[in-house]
Amino acid sequence: MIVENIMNSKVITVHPDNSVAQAIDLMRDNNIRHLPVTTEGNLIGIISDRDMRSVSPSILTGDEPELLINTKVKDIMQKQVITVHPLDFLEEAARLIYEYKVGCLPVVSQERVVGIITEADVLRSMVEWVGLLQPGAHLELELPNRPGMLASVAGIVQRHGVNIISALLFPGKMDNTQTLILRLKALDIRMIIKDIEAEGHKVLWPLQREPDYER
Amino acid sequence: MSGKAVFVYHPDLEKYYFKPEHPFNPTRLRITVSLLQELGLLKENDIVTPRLASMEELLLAHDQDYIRAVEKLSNNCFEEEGLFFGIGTEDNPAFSDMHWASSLVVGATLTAGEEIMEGRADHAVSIAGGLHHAGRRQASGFCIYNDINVAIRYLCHKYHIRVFYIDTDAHHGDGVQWEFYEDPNVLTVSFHESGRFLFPGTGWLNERGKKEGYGYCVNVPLEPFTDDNSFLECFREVVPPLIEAFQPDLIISQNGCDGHFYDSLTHINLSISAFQEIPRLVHQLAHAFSGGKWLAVGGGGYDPFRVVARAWVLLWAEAAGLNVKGNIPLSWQKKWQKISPCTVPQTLFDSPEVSLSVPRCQEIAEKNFRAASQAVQDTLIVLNKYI
Repeated sequence: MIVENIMNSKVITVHPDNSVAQAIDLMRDNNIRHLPVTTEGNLIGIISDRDMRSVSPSILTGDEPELLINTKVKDIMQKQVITVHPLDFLEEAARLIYEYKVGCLPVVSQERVVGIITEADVLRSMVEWVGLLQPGAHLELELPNRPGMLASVAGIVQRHGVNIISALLFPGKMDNTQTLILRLKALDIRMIIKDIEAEGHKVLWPLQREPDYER
Repeated sequence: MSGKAVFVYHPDLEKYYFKPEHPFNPTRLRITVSLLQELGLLKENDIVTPRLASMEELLLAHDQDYIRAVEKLSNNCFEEEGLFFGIGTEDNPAFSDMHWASSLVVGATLTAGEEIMEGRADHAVSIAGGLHHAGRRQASGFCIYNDINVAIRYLCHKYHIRVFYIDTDAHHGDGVQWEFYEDPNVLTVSFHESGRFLFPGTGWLNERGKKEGYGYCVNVPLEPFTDDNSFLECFREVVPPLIEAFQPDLIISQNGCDGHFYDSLTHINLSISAFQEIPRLVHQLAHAFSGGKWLAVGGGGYDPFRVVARAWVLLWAEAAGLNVKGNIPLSWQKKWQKISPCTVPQTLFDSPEVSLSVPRCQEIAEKNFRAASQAVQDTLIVLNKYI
């Protein structure tokens, strides 16, 4: 998944000579928290709602609107902007957002702003990836950390004619295990669980019934 | 409480049958009726024969290409295109006469609704209905056509009514929820095992409806191993105040009984008593707030002999205002023991020794009650503001 696929390409930008008051209006009207600052499409800085808050007068002490009208965006903008390229992986964008603790990344190609990607976009994509928006059953397994384990589980699911909505495989708690999370398009996954356990794999979720009784 | 009740049933409803070994086993209808008869609770003139739903009626809640596909797959069960619509999977295999049988299930629920709205009955029970997972163009979770959605659309359109829908199946009533998600004339409430553990993985507290329908969708996700006390505590916290505030013209309850501790598809630990108490509460609320109008459908329930028959006998007994005694007739036990994989029950209720209590039950009850209180709060604000 690349940035181009999930970025918002209708970018609302602000000019460095615009007033801070104008920028505040722009953010409020569009319900957004970041404004790339551009001159003729070229990125020269960025301002966020946090920058706005730090220059706005406190609601407790009354206001000095003159100051907001007279101050220009270029006077308060961040000039060092962390950006991504449209062909970067979504994972890379997520890593940058996380490591630099920023709320958004302008997407820049040939020095022009072609899109914007926010932390909310990244999270929405992940929600879609794990299939949370489709009806399904959640199955979580602990597998030995060696080749062929995913294929073994997928083979069992296939034998039951069940479609996999999403699959996430990642390192487990211990070095010698991996965790596999599947979302299956099926209501009744009892037989799949039984077969997976018969194969010797550990089912972490759904938790099996606590008390044992006659059935 | 008085009120005339009808039981919508015909043996042909059993033709909604996927395949042998499939957990959704329509034999449960026959053994329920058999138990009702053996107990002397069901008379010939209580029974109303269901009609078939028409194409126009199905179209109220399903897309045309989906219905066409179901028709086609009824003749040739191996069409590849079924998978696009969720048919041909292990959950929802195609079967012959699928369209006809599914239309009859929808028709049964429509018949039940008409009996009530035409004033021939106050309460109507359609145990074959309750296929709450089906979407407009998607078979899901053993459900081909959504009889509840078609019936609500049909009844709302024909009689200009507002409907209060209560779903106590252990699975989230997603199909009904999404169909009326933006509709303030239909308030849906679903109690179910949390989506963390169970299909369809939805039904979170924050699913509250959209646009004009905001607030008109209520979800109470419950912890696995929830018992009678906790379930009923949540039910009493949520349902009575909502019905009182919403003032429905008709109450529809989906009475899936797969939350019983014997049911192997879910992890909810209800006993048979809960399946007497839930309809009892709904019945009282119907007389208090909807002029007695109450339509009850079936739903999930995958332990036919030990759970479904007993739960739905109690459902009908409640609707018909009949008293039930504790023992199951020997003749019924003998008749059905032959095909039952487990020992058939001798009593209508579970003996206290069988019921289960888990060590964490206090924690579970606390967590559930918190969910219930939160669930009801937002909707009451919306309802009290606009009504």
